[in-house]
Amino acid sequence: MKSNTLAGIIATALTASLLPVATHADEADARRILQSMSDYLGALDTFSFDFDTEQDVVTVDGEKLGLARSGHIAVARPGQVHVTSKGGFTDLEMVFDGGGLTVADADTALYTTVPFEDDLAALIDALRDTYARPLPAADLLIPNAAETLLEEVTEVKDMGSGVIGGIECDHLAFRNFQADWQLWVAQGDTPYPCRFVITSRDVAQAPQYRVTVRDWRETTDGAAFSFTPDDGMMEVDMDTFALKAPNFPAHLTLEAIQ
Amino acid sequence: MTRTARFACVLAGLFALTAAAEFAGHQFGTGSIVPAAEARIGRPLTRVSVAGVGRRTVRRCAVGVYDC
Repeated sequence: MKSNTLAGIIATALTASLLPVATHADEADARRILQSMSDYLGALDTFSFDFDTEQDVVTVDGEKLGLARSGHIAVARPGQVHVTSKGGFTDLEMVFDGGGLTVADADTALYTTVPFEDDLAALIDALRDTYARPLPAADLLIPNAAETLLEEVTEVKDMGSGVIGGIECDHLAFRNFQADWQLWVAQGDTPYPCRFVITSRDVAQAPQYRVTVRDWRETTDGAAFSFTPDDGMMEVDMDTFALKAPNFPAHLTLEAIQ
Repeated sequence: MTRTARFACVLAGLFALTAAAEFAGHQFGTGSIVPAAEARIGRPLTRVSVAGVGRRTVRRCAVGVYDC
């Protein structure tokens, strides 16, 4: 009988695991809101916004510090992007015209241009992974953002609403195995992202990357999608540019990769 | 050392200190004469992306500055 009982428990567990998990109303709402933002962004030919970003770093002594930047981004599909991004140690301008990418730093009066004949999604990856200059909230600007973002998600919650810069936004919370992320989406007919926060739960002190969007517009706001160097600027190769206009200020040194 | 010589030494020292502070401020890009605090940043760094595994497999994190 004992083995029968055990078999019964296993059978019950297997059956339960095969049953569809009930989707809570708040989870369905959160997925619907995320999808509406994704659809809205994907359907826009042009848009622009101002942003503030803050990237936490954790020192080897366990102190958590935030690196803050502000800027402006304008996008014209299928392949034009203009970004200005000013931090305390670099004053960057990035221009992508569909055939080439230029990154310039006003502080060092240097710029570099590399050929890049791919789409916006590929550019987003290249800026983040190859050139280490991620576009703010890049995850939200990729095609089918909702589908891609939900791939590894283990929890989805609708947290109600919050007000950011005077705009009421729906607050959504997501978890995956390594990170938590939160998204605030503007209520109404223009469901743009108000704020995007990634918390690296698997890193000591759980540092965050935060992006807040301001002045959302469905136009490029007169942005130029070609680069004209200011007088006195000098063109250098990408390696030299990365060395002279680094991703972190000179007084912060990165530990070597183990 | 005469009083005049001591005064000259003090002046030279003050000048050197001011120049060093100016240089440090310029080096750190702060525009301030107060140098920014040094810090060593540990790895791994905070993520800037939570896009799914299907997307990451076609990417390479060449620089290693951000976790992706």
